[in-house]
Amino acid sequence: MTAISLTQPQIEVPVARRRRLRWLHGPAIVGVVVITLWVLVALTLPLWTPFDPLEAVGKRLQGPSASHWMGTDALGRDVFTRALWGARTSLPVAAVVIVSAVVIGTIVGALAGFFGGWLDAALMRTVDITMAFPPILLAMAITAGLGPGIRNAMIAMVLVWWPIYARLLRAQVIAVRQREYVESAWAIGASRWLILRRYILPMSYTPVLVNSTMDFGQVVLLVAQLSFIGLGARPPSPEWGAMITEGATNFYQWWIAAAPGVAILLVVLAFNFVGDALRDSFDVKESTR
Amino acid sequence: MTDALEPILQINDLRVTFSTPSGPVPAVRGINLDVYPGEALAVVGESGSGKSVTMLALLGMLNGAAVTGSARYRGTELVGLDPAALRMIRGSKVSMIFQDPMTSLNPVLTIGKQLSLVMRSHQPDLSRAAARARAIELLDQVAISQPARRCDSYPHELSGGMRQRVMIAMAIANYPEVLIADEPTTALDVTVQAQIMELLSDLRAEHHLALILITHDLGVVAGATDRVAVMYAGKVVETGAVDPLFNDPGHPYTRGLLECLPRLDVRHEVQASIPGVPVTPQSLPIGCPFSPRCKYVEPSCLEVEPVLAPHGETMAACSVLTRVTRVST
Amino acid sequence: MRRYLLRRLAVMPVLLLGVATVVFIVSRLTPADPLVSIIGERQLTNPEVVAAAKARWGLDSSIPVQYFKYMKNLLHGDLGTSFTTRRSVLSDLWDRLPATLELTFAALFIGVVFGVGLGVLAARKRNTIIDHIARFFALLGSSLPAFWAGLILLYVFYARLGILPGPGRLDPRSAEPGHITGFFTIDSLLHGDWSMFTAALKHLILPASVLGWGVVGIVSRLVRASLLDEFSMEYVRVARAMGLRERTVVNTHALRNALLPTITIVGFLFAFLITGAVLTEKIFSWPGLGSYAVDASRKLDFPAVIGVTILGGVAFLLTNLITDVLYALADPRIRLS
Repeated sequence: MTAISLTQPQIEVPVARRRRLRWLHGPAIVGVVVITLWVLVALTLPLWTPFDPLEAVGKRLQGPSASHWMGTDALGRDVFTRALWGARTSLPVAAVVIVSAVVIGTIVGALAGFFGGWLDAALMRTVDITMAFPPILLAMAITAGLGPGIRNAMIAMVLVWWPIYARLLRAQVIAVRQREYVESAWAIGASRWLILRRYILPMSYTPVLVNSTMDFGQVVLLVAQLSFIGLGARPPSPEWGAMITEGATNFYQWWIAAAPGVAILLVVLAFNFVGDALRDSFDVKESTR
Repeated sequence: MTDALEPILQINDLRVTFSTPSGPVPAVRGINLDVYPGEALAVVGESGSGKSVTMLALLGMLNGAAVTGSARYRGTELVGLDPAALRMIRGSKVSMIFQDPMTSLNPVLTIGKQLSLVMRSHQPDLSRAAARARAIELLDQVAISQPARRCDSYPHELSGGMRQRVMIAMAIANYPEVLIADEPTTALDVTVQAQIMELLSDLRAEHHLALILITHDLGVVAGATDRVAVMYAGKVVETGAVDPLFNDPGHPYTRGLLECLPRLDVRHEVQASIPGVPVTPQSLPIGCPFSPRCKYVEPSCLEVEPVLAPHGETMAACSVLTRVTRVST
Repeated sequence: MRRYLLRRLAVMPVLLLGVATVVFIVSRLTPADPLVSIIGERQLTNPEVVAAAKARWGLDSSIPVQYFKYMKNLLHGDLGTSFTTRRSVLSDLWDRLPATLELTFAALFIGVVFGVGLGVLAARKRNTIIDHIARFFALLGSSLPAFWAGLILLYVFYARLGILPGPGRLDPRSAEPGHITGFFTIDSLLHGDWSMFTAALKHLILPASVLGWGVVGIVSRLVRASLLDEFSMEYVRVARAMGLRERTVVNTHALRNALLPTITIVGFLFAFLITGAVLTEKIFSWPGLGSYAVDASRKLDFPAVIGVTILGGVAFLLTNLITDVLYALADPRIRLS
C-alpha cells in the first residue's frame, strides 16, 4: 500500500559504495561457499580421494558402497573420484570462455557504442546474426567444423558467447556517453581513450559482473552438453558431460550418471544463487539470452 | 444541511501507526469525526497531515499499519472488521476516488469492462447485458458524451477529466451512501476542476450522497462543502461549518491557510505563506505540533498538546486563541 | 502498427542472408578439404561423385564463387546430401520436423501453464514459504542440465516405477498413425484411435515436462516480478477500493498487464526450447531435429549439421518476428496507434 508522502525536503545523500557486501545473504552465502569448496577441492584433489580417476580400481559396475561412494563405472574406475576431477576441466574451461567472451564483447561493444555510425551498424549486425542461432547448434556446428576436442569446443563457445557482452557494453557505453560529466570531460579536451577508460568502462562493470556470474553456470552446462554429444572433452577424460554419456549407456547403473549430474547441478545452482543475489542488489536487468 | 441526527460515519479516536525500519511512525494520532448523511465534509491539510491515511485506514486499505480506535459505518465497526466484509462495504456503501486519473484505470481493459467489474463484484447476479446498460447509464450521468461508444474505449483514449468522471461513475455504480474523494481535482486543469466539483455536487443532490472531500486547496472547499475539518500532524485541529470557519478561524494554522489564499480585491498583494516546514510524524515536538511555526505561540504551548475547545462557532485545538475568545466574549 | 510490421519484415532478408553467410563461413572453417565436408571421406575415391560435387558447389573455383553457388543452391532448397541417410538434407529435415514441433509445443504449453500458475502463486503468497518453494522449483529448472534430468526421471519413472513408458514416441513394436500432420497425438485422434492417442500422450509427457521445466523457471520468475510490479500500480489500488475480490483483482486486472512481458518472451522461450530440445530428444530417442543434429555432429555429417544450423537460425528469426507481432496485438496502446 502506498504510504503517504511526506513533503519534508530530502537531501540526496550519495550512498556509499562501501556497502559492497550487502548482497551476501541467504542463498548467496550458500552459493559462495559451494563455489569456494569446489575450487579448493579442484586445486587440492589428491587430498580428497585415494583413487586415480583414469585407472581401474575396483570391480566394474558396482553400486555405491563404503569404499566407493558412488560406485564404479564400466571400466572399474571410481565414479566419485571422476566426478570430483570433472571440476578440473569444467571450471577452468568456463572461466577461460567467459573471460574471453567478456574481453571480446567489451571491445566490440565499446567500439560500437562509442564511435557509432557505420562501425556500430556493422558490428551490431554481426552480433544480431550470431545471436540468431540457437547457441548449442552454433557451438555444435563450429566444433564439428574445427574438429572435436575441448580446445575447439572452447573456441566455439567463445564465438557463441561474445555477442551478449557486446550488446551489454554497447548499451552501457551509450548510456554513460550521454551523461554530462562525460560531455564536460570531452569539452575540456580529454581524449576518447581516456574517457573510455576512466568514465565509461568503470561504470559498466556492474551488469557485466552480474551477467558473467550467471553465465558461468550456463557455460559449464554448455561444456557438458558438448561433451555429452562427443564434441567436447574426449574419453578417458573425466569430464561431467562425457560421464553422463557413459551413464546413458549403462542406464541401469544409475550412479554413473547421477554423480556428474549432481556435480553440475551444485556448480550451476551455486553460480545462479550468487548471480541472482548480485542482480537483486544492483537491480540490473537481465540480458536476453 | 444535515438532516437525520444519526451520523452515517462515526470516527472515534482513530490512530494509525506505521512500522518502519527506523521505528513506529504515528501518522494519525486520534481523530474524532462525524459525517452526516447527505452532507459534504471537507478534510483539509497538507501532505503528511494524515488525511488520506485516515480514510484508507477505515476502509482497510493499509497494509502493514496498526490501526486502533473506532470507525463505525451505520453502527458497523470497520476497524478490525473481517476483510471479506470490508470488501463488500468498499465500493458499494462507502466508495473512494483518488487523485490521479491518468493511472487509476487499467490500460488494457475497456471502460465498460472496468465498470461492469465493479458492478458485478457487488451484484453478482447482474447479467452482462444489464451491466453494460447500466454502465452506459452511469457514463451519461457523469456527463460523458456518446456513452455507448465510450463504453468500448480504452482509458488512453480519454482525457484526464473524462477519466476522472469514469472513476466517479465507478464509485457511484453501486449506489453508495458515502463517497470519499481524495484530492479529486488536484491533477486536473482549473476549468476541469470546476466541472468535476459541480458534477460531485449534482450527484450528491440526486443520490443523497455524503461526500468527504480531502483536499489541500481551500478554494475548492468554500463553494462545495458544508463543514470543514482541518488536520495537522495527524490530528484534527479545527472543525466547524464552512462560513464561520472561514470568517473567524480559531486555529493559527487555519488562519495561516486562509491568509495564503490569493485575493482578487487587494492590490499589490504580497503572497503570504506559513513560515517553516510541515512537521513530519517522525519529528513531533512536545506540546502543540504547530508551535514551531505559530505566531501566537506561548510557553504553555510547548508543554501540553491542546485539545479541541469551542471558539465562536467552531471547535479549535489552540489554547491561546480559544482563551482569547473566551476572555473577549 | 502496419508500418511497424513492414519495417520488421524488411529487415528479415538481411538477417536471413547473414545467417546463411555465417553458416557458410563456419562450413569452410574446417582445416581439411571442403570436399570432405560435402561428400564425406568415403566418397573421396569415387570420381563421379567427386566431379558432381565439385560442379554443384564450385569447389574448384575461388571462395566468392563457392559462396555464390552455395547461396544459389540454398535458394533452391538444396542443402546437400546427408552422408548417413543418403537423402537430401532438406527431406531429412522435413521428415523430422513434426516430431520436434510436437515436443516443443507440448513443452511450451506445459511450461507456460505451470509457469504462470506458479508465478501467480508466488506473487500472491509473497515471502511466505510457498513463495520460496515455488522460486526454488523454478530455479532448479534453470539450473538442471535438461538431458541429465531426463535421464534420471526416465530411470525413476520408467525403469524403477514403471508408470511411464520408455524412450521413443511410441512403443517400439507399435505402428505409427497415418501421416496427416506428423503429430502422433493429433493424427491418432484424427484417425479415431484412442489407445494410440493415449500411448502417444504418455510417451510425450516425460520429455515435454523435462523440456518445459526450464520454461516454468523463466516464466514463473517473470510473472511473479511483473505481478508484483502491477500490484504497486494505482489502478490496482483503485480496484481494491472499489471492492473487487482479490481474485478478480489479480486475475482480471493485474494479470492481464503482467502477462504482456511474458508474451514478449515467447520467442525467447521458443529459442530456449529449440536449444533444450537438442539433447532432450537424444535422451528420449525422440526422432526429431534435435537428435538429428546430435547424430550428425557425432558422425561429422557436415551437410546435415549445416542444414540443421541454418534451419535453427531461420526458426529463431521467425519466432522473434512472431513475438513482436503478438506483442503489438496484445497491447491496445500499440494496436490502436
